[in-house]
Amino acid sequence: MTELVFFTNQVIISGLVLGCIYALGAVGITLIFGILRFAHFAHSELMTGGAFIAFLLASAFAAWGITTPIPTGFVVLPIAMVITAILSLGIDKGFYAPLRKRGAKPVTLLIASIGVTLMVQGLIRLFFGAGSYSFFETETKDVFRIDLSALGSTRPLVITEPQVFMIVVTFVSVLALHFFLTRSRLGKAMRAMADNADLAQVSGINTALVVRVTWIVAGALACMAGTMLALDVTLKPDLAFNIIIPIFAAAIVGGLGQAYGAIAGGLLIGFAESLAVFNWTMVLRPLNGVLPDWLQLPATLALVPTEYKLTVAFVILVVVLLVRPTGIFKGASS
Amino acid sequence: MLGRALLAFAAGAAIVYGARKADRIGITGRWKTVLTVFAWFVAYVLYRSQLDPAAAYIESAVGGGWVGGLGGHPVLGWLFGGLLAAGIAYIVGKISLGLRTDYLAIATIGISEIIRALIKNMDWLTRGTLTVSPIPWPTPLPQSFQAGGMDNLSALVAARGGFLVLALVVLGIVLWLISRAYAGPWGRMMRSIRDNHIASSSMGKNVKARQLEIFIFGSVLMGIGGAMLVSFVQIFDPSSYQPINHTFLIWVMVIVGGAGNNWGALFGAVLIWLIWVISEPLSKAVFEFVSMWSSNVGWGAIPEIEARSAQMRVFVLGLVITIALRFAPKGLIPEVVKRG
Amino acid sequence: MVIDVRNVSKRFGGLRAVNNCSLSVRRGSITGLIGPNGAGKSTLFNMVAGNITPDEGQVIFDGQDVTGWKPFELFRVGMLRTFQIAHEFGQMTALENLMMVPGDQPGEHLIDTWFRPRLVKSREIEVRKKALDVIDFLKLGHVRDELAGNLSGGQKKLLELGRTMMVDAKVVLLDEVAAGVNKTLLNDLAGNIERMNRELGYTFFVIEHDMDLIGRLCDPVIVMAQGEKIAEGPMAEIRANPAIVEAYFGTPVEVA
Repeated sequence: MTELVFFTNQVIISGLVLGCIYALGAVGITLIFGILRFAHFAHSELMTGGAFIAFLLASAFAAWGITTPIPTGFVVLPIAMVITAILSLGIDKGFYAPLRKRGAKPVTLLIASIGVTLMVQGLIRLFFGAGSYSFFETETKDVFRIDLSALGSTRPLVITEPQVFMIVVTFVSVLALHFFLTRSRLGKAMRAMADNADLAQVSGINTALVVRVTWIVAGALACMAGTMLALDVTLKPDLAFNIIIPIFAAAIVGGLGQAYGAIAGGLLIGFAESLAVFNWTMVLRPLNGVLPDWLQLPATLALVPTEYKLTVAFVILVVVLLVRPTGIFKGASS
Repeated sequence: MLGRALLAFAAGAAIVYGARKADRIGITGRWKTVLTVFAWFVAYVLYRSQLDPAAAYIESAVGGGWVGGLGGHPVLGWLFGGLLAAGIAYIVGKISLGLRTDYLAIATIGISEIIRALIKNMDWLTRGTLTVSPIPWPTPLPQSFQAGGMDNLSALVAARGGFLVLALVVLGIVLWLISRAYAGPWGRMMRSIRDNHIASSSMGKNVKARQLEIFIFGSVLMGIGGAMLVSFVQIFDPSSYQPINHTFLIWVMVIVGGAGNNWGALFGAVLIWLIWVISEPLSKAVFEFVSMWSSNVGWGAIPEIEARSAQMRVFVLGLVITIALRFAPKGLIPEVVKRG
Repeated sequence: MVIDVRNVSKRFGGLRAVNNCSLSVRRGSITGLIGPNGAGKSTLFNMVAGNITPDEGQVIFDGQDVTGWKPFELFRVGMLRTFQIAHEFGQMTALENLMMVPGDQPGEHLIDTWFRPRLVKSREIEVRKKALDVIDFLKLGHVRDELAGNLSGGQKKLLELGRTMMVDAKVVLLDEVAAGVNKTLLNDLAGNIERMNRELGYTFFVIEHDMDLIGRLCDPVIVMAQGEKIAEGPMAEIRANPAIVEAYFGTPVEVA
């Protein structure tokens, strides 16, 4: 039983947390790709930027003496999301829209988005330096230890307060996104445009509005993902830049342009990474009693060493691109 | 030592190959299987006997002494760097060149991260974060000029001048090779593939092979460049090669200078390097000025000016990319379309 | 038979573009391929030329099974094509468009380019001379150094035809070569196709909507409809067959 709890702590919870963050980022990337047909590399900076905005707001709340029962990061999240959404609209207007108007190739827009990445990262470092920050300097990070000794486990099930919120918030937003895409007029228009932009244009969809809504949704979700990642670990300027390739991997694995695919891809990659570095000896230890001496399990028995954790996503990405370039859920291929 | 390990590997491969072909001399069936297994065993022992001390030596060596092994001139090492890059490019190209442009960009960034993770963590081969240093210079070092009685500064200038001359010679040779190929039928064929790869294939050009060729050719140049950089800074530290400082910097050079024009790329390289280098002191000056003004008005000085201005480089780089893409999409020296 | 298409099929999604189609082209002939829009002519052409791979069936060229070969491989055994929508190299001059065609140019290999300049140069002079001859023949001299992307539609078509004249091919596939070319030039063009066929032994396989041109050049003519071959014979016979005319045109107009 102890082993099972350990497995839950190390793989299920951490994979789920990672998967939620990847999924939220990947949904934004996939929506932008579906509507605007380019790979938005600067999405990582929307995430990091959003996290820093949330951090500033949380600090301001703390300075004003406002205390909240739940982590302040989650209280200020809606405001930070609005600000990030406005910022992403501004970035589109300033940097991508002029290129689109000129009919630039997707790869040009990709490079422009790398330029934006560098600019935003430079700005963040300019104001916040290269150090790391924590949301929990003034309040405590509650850790729930669920005692399972009744079930025969010597270890408790460990989950932190932000992790609980994170999973709930992600679930709610995915549900909200689902209803937005399937029930509202705008959501339907977005899906139609992702399917066939020309057809959508002639059938009277206001494409400029759809583009704006796309940026708003993508920016808000990016802010959410970034803030939650920062709440789970620490906030630093290269917070999301380090995970942008796994997020792209998630979006591509799910099929670019497919919102549900991106969610599935995000969870898949999150779990794959956790599973790959999981130390199986911890679970298989009871076998040591049965196995002969010369076949004892080594102290660490992981599929890949921890230092290659990020590589897992890249390998999945490369394999998927080779075997099924359109992703698991057949994505856009324009 | 690594050289010996390589030789042992070759010998081992030969033994195994020989065993596989043993039926030629009448050894067949089960005996052949046994022999093959035995040959594998011998080859493995031989290889490990050479590799293990090499690996141990590589991991333990603390500065000084050769780690590489063959003791040739550094310029040979540069060429080997190019060769190695060619080998890697062949594999990467085979895997990913069939993809669409933006997928291709993401896939190559992903693959480069995999390779970086490997180099960083394969301590037995690359010493990983232990770094390799010192790496010999191809030209006389400042110390040897000093030994000849020069003062420190002029020795440094002389040594660096020597390296610069060598680097310019390499650049000159490369530029000559590229211009020559580009101006001739090879360049014409490559441009036809770029313009319309379907028609080019119908006109008898093996588009895939040619794309792979040019990808490998570019990678060889980059491999040589990397080897030169490493021997110039005299230390190999895999964790210092960040995409921001290298991959993207080179992209910006090409975009700003003008893709498809060698002179544009060269001009872009020098210009962006200048911007990259001066943006730090420049922003430091600006910050100091603003800081002086703000403390005069009573708002207090800007803290940590040094660290902040170091970060401005990244911002300036991003700004240059976006401005260049918007206002000079073909670069400052655009590709010249040849007529007649 | 220089081209032998055996039971070839191709589907795009649910649409059967070519359906179990068999036909052949006799060596030394100018064979026409006609049929209404959507009959599968271009799909069939693309399969013969290697631009798409058939789902089923075989393509035999010169006694060799070439199913699934890439276009550049077919070029090397002597099959060339032009495209219905001109596929010119837009950022290259008209002359360069022609000069890139010949295979086995030593200058296309890096090693030769760098170390055997004289060999490259002498071949380059030959290629240039040949290209200039073709340019003269097509009366494109005045746009020789113009970028191909700036040429008119008809000029681009001529340039495509010119590309096929740069090498000695066994078979040339012409996909609507006459569209957009003016009458006088078309006459020259037809004359040249006839001459290449008669004197140099070229085989032509021609998709064309210009019935006059088909009538003048082609024997036999193959009729396709709905992905299948429905008839083959001399143009006069095709014209005289009301059933074919009905299937082809729906109503018997346009047949002059």
